[in-house]
Amino acid sequence: MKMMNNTRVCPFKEDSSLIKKINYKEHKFLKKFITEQGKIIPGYVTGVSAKYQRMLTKEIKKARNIALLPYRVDVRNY
Amino acid sequence: MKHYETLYIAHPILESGRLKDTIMNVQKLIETNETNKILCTEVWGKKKLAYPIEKQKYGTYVLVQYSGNGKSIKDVNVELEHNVNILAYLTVEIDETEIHKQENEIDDQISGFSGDEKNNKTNEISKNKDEEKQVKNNNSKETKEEINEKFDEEKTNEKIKTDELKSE
Repeated sequence: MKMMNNTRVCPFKEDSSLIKKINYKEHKFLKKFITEQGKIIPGYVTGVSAKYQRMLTKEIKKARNIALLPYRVDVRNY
Repeated sequence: MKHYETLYIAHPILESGRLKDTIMNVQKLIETNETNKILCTEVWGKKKLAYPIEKQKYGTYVLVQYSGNGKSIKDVNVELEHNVNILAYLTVEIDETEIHKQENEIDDQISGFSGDEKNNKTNEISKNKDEEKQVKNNNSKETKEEINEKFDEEKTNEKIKTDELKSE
């Protein structure tokens, strides 16, 4: 719960060069914004601002369509 | 005129020759509409899929970028859907800034990926060579000089031999 109380800065506002990486082809970068199970992490946890969170979700969903990212991962199998 | 890109997964069974055929087929398919122009094709190589498609765990990713008429894309997608060799595809509109430059020929790209293991081996070998070089560098310069002297001796010996042969 400590993490929740900390004020976080949006990583894309801190470093604008990262905005280029919000692309479905950069699936290794997008992997930072999904959980182990493959769920998209909400913006209030990662600190990503609403504008870039919208872009992120769209790109993650594209990447899922073409099997670069998983729709879901069954953790029990590991 | 807008720019588009299609990323598709070719069947993993396809090897160099047949893979090239499928890639060329897709290119022809895109160029059936005369306004379309292919800008770049990139072969990403065989990759593990995040989830199995048509019972396949691996697939060869190919990226095609082209500019053209938006209406023709529907036909392209329908053809890709019915192509047996293609597991999945995704067509997206892109900015002009996102266009890649065609660096290598398709043949080179395919051959480069098919020989992945070889490349790794060569890398290992080169690493070993580097280590050897370092070891040599660690040794004093005298050894180098000695080696050079040895080479010189060998050369002179060879010369003598050749001279002898000539004289005979």
